[in-house]
Amino acid sequence: MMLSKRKIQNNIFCYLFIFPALAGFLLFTIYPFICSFVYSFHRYTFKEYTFIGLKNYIQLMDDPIFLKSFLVAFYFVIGCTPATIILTIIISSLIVKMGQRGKTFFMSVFYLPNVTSIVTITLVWRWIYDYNYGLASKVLNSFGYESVNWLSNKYTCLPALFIFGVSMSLGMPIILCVAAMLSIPKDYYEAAKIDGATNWQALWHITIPLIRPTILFLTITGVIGNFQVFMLIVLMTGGGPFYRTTTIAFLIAKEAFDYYRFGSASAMGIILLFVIAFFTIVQYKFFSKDIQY
Amino acid sequence: MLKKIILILFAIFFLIPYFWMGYLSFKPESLVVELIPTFGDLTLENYEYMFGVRHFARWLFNALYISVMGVILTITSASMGGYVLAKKKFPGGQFIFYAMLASMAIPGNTVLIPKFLMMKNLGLINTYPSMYIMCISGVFGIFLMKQAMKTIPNEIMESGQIDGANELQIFWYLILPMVKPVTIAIGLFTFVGVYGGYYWQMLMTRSEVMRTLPLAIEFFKGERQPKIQLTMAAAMLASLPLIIVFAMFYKYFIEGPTMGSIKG
Repeated sequence: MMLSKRKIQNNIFCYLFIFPALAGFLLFTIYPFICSFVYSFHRYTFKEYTFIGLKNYIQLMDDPIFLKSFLVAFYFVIGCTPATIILTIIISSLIVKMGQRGKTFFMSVFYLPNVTSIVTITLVWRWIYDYNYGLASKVLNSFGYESVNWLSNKYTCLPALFIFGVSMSLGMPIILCVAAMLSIPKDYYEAAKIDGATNWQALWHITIPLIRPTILFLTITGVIGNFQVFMLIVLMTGGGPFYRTTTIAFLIAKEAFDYYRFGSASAMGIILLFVIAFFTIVQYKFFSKDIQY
Repeated sequence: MLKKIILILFAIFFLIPYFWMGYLSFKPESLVVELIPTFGDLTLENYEYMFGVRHFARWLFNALYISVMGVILTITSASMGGYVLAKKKFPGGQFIFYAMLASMAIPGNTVLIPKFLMMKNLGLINTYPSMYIMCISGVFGIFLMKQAMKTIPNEIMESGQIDGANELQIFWYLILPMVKPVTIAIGLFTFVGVYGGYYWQMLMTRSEVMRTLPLAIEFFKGERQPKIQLTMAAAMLASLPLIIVFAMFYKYFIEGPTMGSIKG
């Protein structure tokens, strides 16, 4: 079983070419991933590093803030994902009808948050939600209502973040959705028109079934993304008021970089990993039956 | 017509924060902001103040420098890796690709802690490389690159071999020019991602001079409690490089994610 000289040369060439990507992958994804597992069984601070078995996990099961952070992350999934997908479908179906320049223009507008640093755009939104001087309060005042402290009020803090979050996340879904809609043959709509279908009927019975793979993709990535909401919390509320906006991803960072408890933070990270893997598999099993054609 | 109006209303609602960011950055300092915009008293004084802030030019340089380095690393590793994964057969190639795909499900914050400790133990904190070195493992870039290179017919590589070109020459002169749009798109996504990054950059910087502009602005707000007009001028200046890049290359941003997959 001798490999031919050409084959060996080919393999050497391939490994040389894959080397940068593979080295980066092993060093910055696989190695940290293994480390997280190992750390999660240790009490790990700047002072000590001792093996404590499952103690981190056991303690987390009794930690009300930890358990609640999953609930908060779940609120973000429910509050943002359906809204993002519905808005994406509506806006995309309007954009497809535009001319070429209109398409480019409107897609650029909705893509804008992706090319604005999250720090700068949160600065604006923090001002909008400001109690004394913010735009949202001013609009209320001009209608004769009292100002609301949007981000520190326990009833408004989550909806305020949902609105901001959804407006930040429409760019990429709209691009994918418009591309999917453009690939639907025009004849389908003409046939529907001849049969007297309204625009809504065409959207519901032709467009949505045919872009189902895209909707599935957006749902899965949306759930995964919203479950890990992090930067919004860091920059807008810092987890408050009273842990009402403390999501699991935020709690991990806080535990690690505010309290330097790397062990228990890693245990949280591992639990989050399993929850997300579970969600992904369930969603895929649930939806993928529908998209076989 | 009605559709156009609805769409324009959506767009207007969407652009409100950007309008206020721009508008306020040109207003004279005051705490009270009126609800109906007035344009009589616009001024450049907020921008003049920001340019006078110590280290401002350095912060801008930091952000641009690490973004450019990140783009170079991503494009290099993604184009080379994507090429052999799409066009060559070698032991382990498939496995590497699927392992990379599966790794996209790993939550960012789960691996954040080991990455931070690794940089700390290597003594790389508060250096430039710590802020961009991770770009070398851009799985998203490899995926896009592989998809795009798959669509290149094998005859092109064969014609190169017949003409006596070696593997490197085929890659450089024949393959790379054909995936230029995807390369540009990947580069742009990386640029925007690294330039606008916040949390990692915050973990990696200790001294004031090493901050990137977006990061510095967040601190700037916290430390000196400036008036909203100054903050908005700072936000405008920090987004300006990104907005210029977007205005120049918007086509690639919008077509990038669907390149290779839809068109044959």
